[in-house]
Amino acid sequence: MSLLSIEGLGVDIPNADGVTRILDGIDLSLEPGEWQGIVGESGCGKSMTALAVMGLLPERAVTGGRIVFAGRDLAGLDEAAMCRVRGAEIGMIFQEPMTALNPVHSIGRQIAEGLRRTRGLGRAAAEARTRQAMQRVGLDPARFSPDLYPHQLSGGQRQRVMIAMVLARRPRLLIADEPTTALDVTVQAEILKLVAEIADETGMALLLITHDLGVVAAIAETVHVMYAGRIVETGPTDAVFAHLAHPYVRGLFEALPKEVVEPGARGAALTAIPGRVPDPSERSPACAFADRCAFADARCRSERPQLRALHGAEHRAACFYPRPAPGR
Amino acid sequence: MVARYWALWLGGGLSLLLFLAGLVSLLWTPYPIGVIDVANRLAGPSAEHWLGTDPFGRDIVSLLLKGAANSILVAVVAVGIGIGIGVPLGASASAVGGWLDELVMRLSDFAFAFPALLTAVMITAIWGPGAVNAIIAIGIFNIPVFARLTRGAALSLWQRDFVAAARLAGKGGVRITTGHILPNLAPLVIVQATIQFALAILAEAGLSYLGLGAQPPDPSWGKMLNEAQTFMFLAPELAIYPGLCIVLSVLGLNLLGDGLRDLLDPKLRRARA
Amino acid sequence: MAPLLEFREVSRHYRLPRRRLFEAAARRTALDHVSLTLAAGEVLGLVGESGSGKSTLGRLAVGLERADAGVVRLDGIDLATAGRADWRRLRCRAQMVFQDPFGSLDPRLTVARIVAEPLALLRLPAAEAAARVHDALAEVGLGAETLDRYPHEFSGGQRQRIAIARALITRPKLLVADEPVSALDVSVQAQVLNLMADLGRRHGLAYLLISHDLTVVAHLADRIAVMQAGRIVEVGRTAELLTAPRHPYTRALLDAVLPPDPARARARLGLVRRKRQSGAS
Repeated sequence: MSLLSIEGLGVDIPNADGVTRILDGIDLSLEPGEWQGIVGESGCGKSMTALAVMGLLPERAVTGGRIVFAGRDLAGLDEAAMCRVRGAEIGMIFQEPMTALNPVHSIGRQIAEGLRRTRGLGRAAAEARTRQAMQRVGLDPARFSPDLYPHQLSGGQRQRVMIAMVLARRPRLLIADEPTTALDVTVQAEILKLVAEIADETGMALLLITHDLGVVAAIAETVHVMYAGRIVETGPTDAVFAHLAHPYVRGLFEALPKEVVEPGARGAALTAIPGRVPDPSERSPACAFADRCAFADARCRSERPQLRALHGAEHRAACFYPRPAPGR
Repeated sequence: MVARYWALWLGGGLSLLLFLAGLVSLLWTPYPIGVIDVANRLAGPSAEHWLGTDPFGRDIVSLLLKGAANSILVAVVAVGIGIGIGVPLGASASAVGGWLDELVMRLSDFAFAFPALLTAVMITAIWGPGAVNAIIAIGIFNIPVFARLTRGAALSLWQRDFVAAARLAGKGGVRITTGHILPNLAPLVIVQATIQFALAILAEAGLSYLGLGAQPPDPSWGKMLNEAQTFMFLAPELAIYPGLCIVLSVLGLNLLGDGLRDLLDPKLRRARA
Repeated sequence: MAPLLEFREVSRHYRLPRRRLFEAAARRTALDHVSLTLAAGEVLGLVGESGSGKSTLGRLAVGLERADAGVVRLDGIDLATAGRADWRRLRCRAQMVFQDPFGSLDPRLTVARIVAEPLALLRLPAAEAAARVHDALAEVGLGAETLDRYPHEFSGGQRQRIAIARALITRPKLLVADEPVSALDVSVQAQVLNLMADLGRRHGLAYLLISHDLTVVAHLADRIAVMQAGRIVEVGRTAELLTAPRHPYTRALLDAVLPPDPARARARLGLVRRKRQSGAS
């Protein structure tokens, strides 16, 4: 049985003129201990998907579809039950550690808080576990007292605190929403490695959300590419990156400057994707990418492509004209 | 649309009513207010006098309309003084910084240390009662409000990249202040002005109640309240009419101010959308 | 030939607020004896993480801030001693593009007025000024229909183009670009980078390209200077720096870049993944 199963998730937000569809038919299935990544640009809905799983969507949002976690339909849970799920079973780390941490509480207190509420530990036991957690995330208790406040730490250190807070409760699934985007590049790698090591040790499933193709290539075993509220390509990371079937995915890949990884490639203009990401209210009911796609035809503009298998049931793309696999 | 912004509509409507009343009274009132008609004193509502007459036989509706004009005049000029002096002070303080900033802020602190209404009473008591002195007294206390508001908002605007771009275009402090800072401050100042307007009307009513505001024969709502005191049990409506006018005006302006702030604040706007 | 922009032993400090009444204020050093030159038409990349001082150096180059020590020379003129007439020339010669496309345009002005703003330095007749605005917008791929619209009606990428049009309108020789694409999505980044490369070639522009993102800098820059904690730790031609970095910090920056290639990215991260018990397929 899969740990997390999202079926046909749709999220609508009411606004002045009616309703804006933010997420449109998201399907995703995560096994225990599996690492998956959702990659996309701003406005594609990747963060919304995470919030939907956590039950943290804005109140006015209307959701359709099912989110089943460990056999339980999360939509049916009331707020109290959902609170128990959050933190204890599904943990989440966010992009901006400064706003996710409470600036007026010490870091030790914030880490211990989760412990005491979900595991009912006494103060001494919670303190010991706090120190353990801090040690595990690389905050040496000799240098970092649990009495420090968030503003006394650097961005990377705050992110480690957030990881410690989540870890201390040993959730079964960790959702990481752009966990390293706000950090310096040398720190990014350390934090990613930390998250990966911990997930490996504890057997936690990992859902990593990012806009960075390199990050998702490094961590995720299965990747979902989102565009305009829909998943446009999904499959094992190796296969997706080798094939680059969907024109948007290919476009993203080719738009990246590659001099650092291929020093000979200098000087060539980048292949940019023309146009821009449509506003949620302007999305086409047919293929959302059609107006930016070099291969689009009348069918793409009138009919909505569903995810269909390319070769092997695992790798699917929502395109009528996916690129043929290289080397075939 | 109306339902979502009901506060704005209601506030706007009441404020508009206030201004119309004042404007109309400048051209026409049912009865001239200078004329006393003792024979007709304390009459109840009738076809000739829609709300009756006051202890001197003057038509209440006319008094209320002229009172509106008086309140508006005092509030407009007082708030105008506050904006006219406070905004440039705050803008200069943020543009020049250093000693000017310190000076303006400490003067504001000094002004805020005084209880505004009591000091206004003192000023008018010393310099003599009358609408002009009431305006000055209220206006003085509006200056630090706008100075502080302007200075705070301007400081954060100075950090924005479009100001740096203006500096790179060769513009100096004055041109940046007039071209970039002030226009971007306008929404904040407008919202604060509506609120200060309401407070000014209250202050004027208070001063007039004490006899320190508009002098006879010019009517004012505060004075009407004072005169109504002796007749509280005989004719309570004499107090209710001007009291209601004050309440509705202040309420309307506050609602308008709040509604405008919600409308103009980009962060709140995004949360609503 | 004299360099277009020259920094010689430039230092810049910031005074921190005093913690105790009679204690001297502490200083934070943003730049520490930095020396660097930029030739006409050259693209020099400035790479570093937060706190490296790269943005400060950029602002010193255009005179938005003043150095506390050392000499900053732009087009042969020492910025510390430049007079008013000098500054007018300098502002025409060097302009800047900022990081935040939402904050670098005044929300209350139309695009036409925003782009025309630097023309105040040139005192052109109205007709010529209008023509220049048209041309500047056309060069960045925006048409005349944008003239009367306001910044909030445009996307991040379009706003950045408007900012570039504004920066180019005085026909400068140096453009300081401070994180010009960091706030943009990948697909839009590529558009703006291509535009910058194109404009640079067409007008012989020199760029001081500041970014924390080495991949962006490596794409456009002829030479790269690596900064750390207010100092330049390495300068070199791009190809050499990328293939044979000398300073360990440079090497760390290079190693931290994760390529969009699963095998190599995993290797970079040094991940050793144990086999999971439950198979996915």
